[in-house]
Amino acid sequence: METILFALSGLSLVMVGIFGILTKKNIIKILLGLNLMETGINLFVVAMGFFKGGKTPIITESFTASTMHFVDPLPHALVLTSIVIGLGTTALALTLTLNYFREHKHIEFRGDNA
Amino acid sequence: MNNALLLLAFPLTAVFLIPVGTVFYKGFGRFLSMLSYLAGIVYGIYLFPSILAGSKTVIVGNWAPPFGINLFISPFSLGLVILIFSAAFIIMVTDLQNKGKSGQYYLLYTLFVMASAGMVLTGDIFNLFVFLEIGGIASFALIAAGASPMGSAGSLRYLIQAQITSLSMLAGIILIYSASGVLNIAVLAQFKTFNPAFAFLALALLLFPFMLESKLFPLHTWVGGAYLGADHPFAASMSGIAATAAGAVMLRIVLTLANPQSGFGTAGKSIQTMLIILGGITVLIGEGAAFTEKNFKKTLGYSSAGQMGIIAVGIGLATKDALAGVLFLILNHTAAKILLFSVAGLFSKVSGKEKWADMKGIGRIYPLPAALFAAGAMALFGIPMFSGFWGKLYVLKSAFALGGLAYAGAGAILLGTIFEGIYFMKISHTFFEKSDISLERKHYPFFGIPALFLAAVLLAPGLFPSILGPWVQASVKELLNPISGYVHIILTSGGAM
Repeated sequence: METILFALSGLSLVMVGIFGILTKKNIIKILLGLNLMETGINLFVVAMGFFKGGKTPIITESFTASTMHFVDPLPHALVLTSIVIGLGTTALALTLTLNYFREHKHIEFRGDNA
Repeated sequence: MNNALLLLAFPLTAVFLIPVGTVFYKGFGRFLSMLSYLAGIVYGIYLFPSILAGSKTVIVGNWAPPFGINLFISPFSLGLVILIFSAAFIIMVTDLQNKGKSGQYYLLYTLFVMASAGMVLTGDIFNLFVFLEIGGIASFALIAAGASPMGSAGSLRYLIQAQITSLSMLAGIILIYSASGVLNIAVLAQFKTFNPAFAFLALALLLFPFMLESKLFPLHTWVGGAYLGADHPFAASMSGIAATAAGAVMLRIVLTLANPQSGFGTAGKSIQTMLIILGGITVLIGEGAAFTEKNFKKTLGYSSAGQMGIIAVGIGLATKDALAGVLFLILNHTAAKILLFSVAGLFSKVSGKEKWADMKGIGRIYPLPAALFAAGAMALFGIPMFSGFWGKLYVLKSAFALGGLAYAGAGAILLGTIFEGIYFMKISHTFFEKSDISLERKHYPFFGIPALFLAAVLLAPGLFPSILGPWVQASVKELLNPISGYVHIILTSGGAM
């Protein structure tokens, strides 16, 4: 149940993000939508590795094979990669927005610019 | 011995050294990036005979599948990697005349080439995602670096659309992982218990970014802005390199992951049907858009979408003939698009115009480039004697043999080809029309030699299709028998390098 709730809240953030991308014309707002969508997907990824009562996946001496009740660490590793990629893309997108502003003197997608 | 990793290590080393070397010598970036592509070509050709005898897998860091990442070196993947490096090298040669580019441009370009080669080689879906993002970020920056006022607009539109599709790919990856616990394509191909609806959703999410890169309908709307913004060499690379890599990944995912013996089985059939339908629509929309477009770069970009539509139909048909046709078309499209973009770049440079309609009579001053343009156009069109002819012929032959939905795909290809023929003839004719254009004729040695070479590449397989025979046969055999070939070699680590 917790996993489903976790996954659904992540996916609802994705929906909010997609709504923003589709309805806004301001580039900064579109990028905010993109970032919301990305955060939602990241939460969804983490949710897929989670289950109720799972422990932090660090092996110590007090654990034996039968008491190891770990959450799956691999989605966490994937999310770290995805966060870094998201940071890079957002930084690049903001730079492009700055360029766009210098050329067009506004930051909105209008029908006249390709 | 992880020697084949060098194919990715050459360009990656160049990427790290370029910022250092540029401090001392401004032309270092261009020199080192070209050297790394040349090293990739030479090493690839050196490996090729032994790979043709038997495919090999490279296990990275001694973590055997399903835990680690592996690269798969086969006639198909190695052949396309050599094609990608050669395309990058030739594009750089055609651009030698242009002295104004900074070290950063070459750094990003080499990163883009490395990511494209990595996408073709890797056997792990998350690694595929990482390569896709590396290539993507490099392309966004390179489009904006095109020094065109439209660069940032086109690049932003491409960035937003590409990010949405690659996030959906991440969702697809994690759905597959949550159901199976593995990310390795070879292990997944043997998985038996996916629900068909779930499998279709996961596969479609996984394929989205590659459909975007190959400009398939409805993910083709970025083409106009991005091609308008990019400079000619990078526009050629988006057609020649990125689309080739995306086509290779689609072939690998559709035919290996979605083969009938795997858990994705029935979903694989639905994905193939989807590719036939979307490919057919893309041919019509791409060629139709190119037909009405007046901007030179945009026309060529839309025509590239049309060509990738034919390739998608071929992948969807997935028969022996269709796949042989697809391989011919990939080679033909890469060589022809580089040739056409280099002519377009030369003509815009000498005339200062962006629309092909304004270049009336330029072929009377520059007859060789204009004639080579007509040759490249005929190759895309599929005139006999060019490799494009065999590609289209094999895909159509297979479509007519299958019947049903494939008829619609074949009809779309034939109708699209008519449009393609008309606008390419119109452009070629415009170049030779009588006009009062007066330009001083200059010599561009860096244009002529690579352009003649590309024309030879288009002609040779067209006249003698048997020179590509061993490669095409080995690749088609590999793609159609994934379990006994691809999966078996990776899981037993057979022929590990």
